[in-house]
Amino acid sequence: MDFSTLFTTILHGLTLGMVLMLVAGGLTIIFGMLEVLNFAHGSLYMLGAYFGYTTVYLTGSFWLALLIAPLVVGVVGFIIEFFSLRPLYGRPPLHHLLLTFGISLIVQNGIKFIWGNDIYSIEMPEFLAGATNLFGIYYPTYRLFVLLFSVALAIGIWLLISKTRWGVVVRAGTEDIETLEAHGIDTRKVFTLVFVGCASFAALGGAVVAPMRTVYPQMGVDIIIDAFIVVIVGGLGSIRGAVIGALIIGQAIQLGAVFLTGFADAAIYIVMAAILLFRPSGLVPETQ
Amino acid sequence: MIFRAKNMYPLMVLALLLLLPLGSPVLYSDYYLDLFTKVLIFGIMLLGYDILAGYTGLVSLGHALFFGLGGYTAAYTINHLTSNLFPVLVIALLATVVVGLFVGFFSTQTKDIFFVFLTLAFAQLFYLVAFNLTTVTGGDNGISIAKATIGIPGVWEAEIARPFGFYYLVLFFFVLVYLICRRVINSPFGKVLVAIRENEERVSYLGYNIRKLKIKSYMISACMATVAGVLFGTYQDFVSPGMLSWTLSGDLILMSVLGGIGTLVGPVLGGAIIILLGDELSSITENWMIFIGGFFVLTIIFAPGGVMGLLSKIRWRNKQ
Repeated sequence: MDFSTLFTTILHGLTLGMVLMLVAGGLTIIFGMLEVLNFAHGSLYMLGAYFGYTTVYLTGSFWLALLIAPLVVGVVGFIIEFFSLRPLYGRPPLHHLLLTFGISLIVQNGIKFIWGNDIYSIEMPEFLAGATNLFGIYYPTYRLFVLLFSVALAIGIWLLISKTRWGVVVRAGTEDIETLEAHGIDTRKVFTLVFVGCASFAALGGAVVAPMRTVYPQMGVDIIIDAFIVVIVGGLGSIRGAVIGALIIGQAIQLGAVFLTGFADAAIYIVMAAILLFRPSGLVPETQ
Repeated sequence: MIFRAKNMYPLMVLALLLLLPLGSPVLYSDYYLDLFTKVLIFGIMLLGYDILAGYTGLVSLGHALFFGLGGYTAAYTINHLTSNLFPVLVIALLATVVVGLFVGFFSTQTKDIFFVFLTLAFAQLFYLVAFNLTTVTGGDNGISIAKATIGIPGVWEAEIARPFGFYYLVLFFFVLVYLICRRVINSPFGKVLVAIRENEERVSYLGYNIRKLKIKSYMISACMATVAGVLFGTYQDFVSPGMLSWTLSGDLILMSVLGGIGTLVGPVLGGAIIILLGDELSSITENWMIFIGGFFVLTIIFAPGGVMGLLSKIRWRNKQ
């Protein structure tokens, strides 16, 4: 293998890792705070892509899609949290996983009902089409955009969590919810806001990735399995773990596609099994 | 009196199951007999799965692994060694012991969600092998299986008649597996499994080797899934990677929870509901899983005990 292929593969892996992080980050924050394993998170990502597609179809504006998708999916997230998760707080985490599994079935089949089984693609803005010369290697401009966009988003979220009063509440919530309540904070409202925020975040991820990975009814399930693996490898509830996990799994998928032709998909399972065998609670276990 | 009536239930159900084929083709077409056969095959797998998920509290998202293993081993043995079902079953169970001990040993090292996903990982690896190793497994096209036979090799052998012969054969295994599973959960071993589900730490303080017990529970349920897989493969005369897919493992969870996990009968009931209802709904819309998803969500919110939980609640209220 020559250097340029390897370079491209690693960049692909980085982009994919960042995309996974958009979903896995929300997954791990939701688990850390709400103690909910949200299987429907991939469905929210998928809904983002579909609403993005429809927005572009109706208005022709890609940037508007990046605004509409998170807003609409935020509302969907609110409905899910308010009507189905709320009655279940305090039950074993497995109940939430099962509940959201059911929700993901509803969303997936609902999408097939509304949009059909077709595969759609979103046209990317013209100036992002084509390739960019990176140290003599041509790399698709849109992928670079996705990479930079995700990194910028991640930094934004990081600043929000580490520098603002809001972030203090979220961080405190992932550590100890009772103490947070004792400080006079309405944790129910915080839960709703966190869930809606993470849902919008996933939708934004889905919309921004759509021009690169197409829009199809199985995309939610595809990403949620990968995202769960990221979160499990990283350590449930740990934001830092999700970032590390996303980078590892992104590389595993792309390098697997090159080196394990035919068994590309096996790479992530092998990586996950290997990590779990040595660290049964993931790389950055939640401190309790 | 109440106790006596209660004791009659299993016999009444058995009588109903025995008489079921007689309704065909007058009351319903052979097609329904085919569905009932599938319900019972899934029932065998669900009975075993309940020991692991319901009684031990270890939810696996990789149980299709053994269903598929049974199917593929049956395909190989029937096509290349012997068409007799009983040696086929023995070979398939031996394969399960090897694979199950390996996967079970590593998976039981973790628990909760980590167990869910580690079992998924192992099952997916087998799925990918079945899907990609085209020369051995036929890939996506699967393998056609020659007709299976029953009897004593060399003395008397006969092809299994369809649909009636197969139905009764499957029913025989279903009853056998049900009796074994009941025996297991009523034994001291079964009680310890429930104790592990409720509080693992306390059980270990009592001096039990948790890991060993979990592996045992895993192996029992794996063996049942294998038996179901062998029957399913020989019944369909065909195996494909679909038998190993994680959505099938997901269906097992749906069925178990809908019927009532940890009740043995509940998951079988849940399986029957989803298979029969799914068949009815699929004639209305191809996206019928939306309804199943809806039922499932309502079940989790309002009746986490599933159908069996609801039934026992009603019975309890009537007693009051």
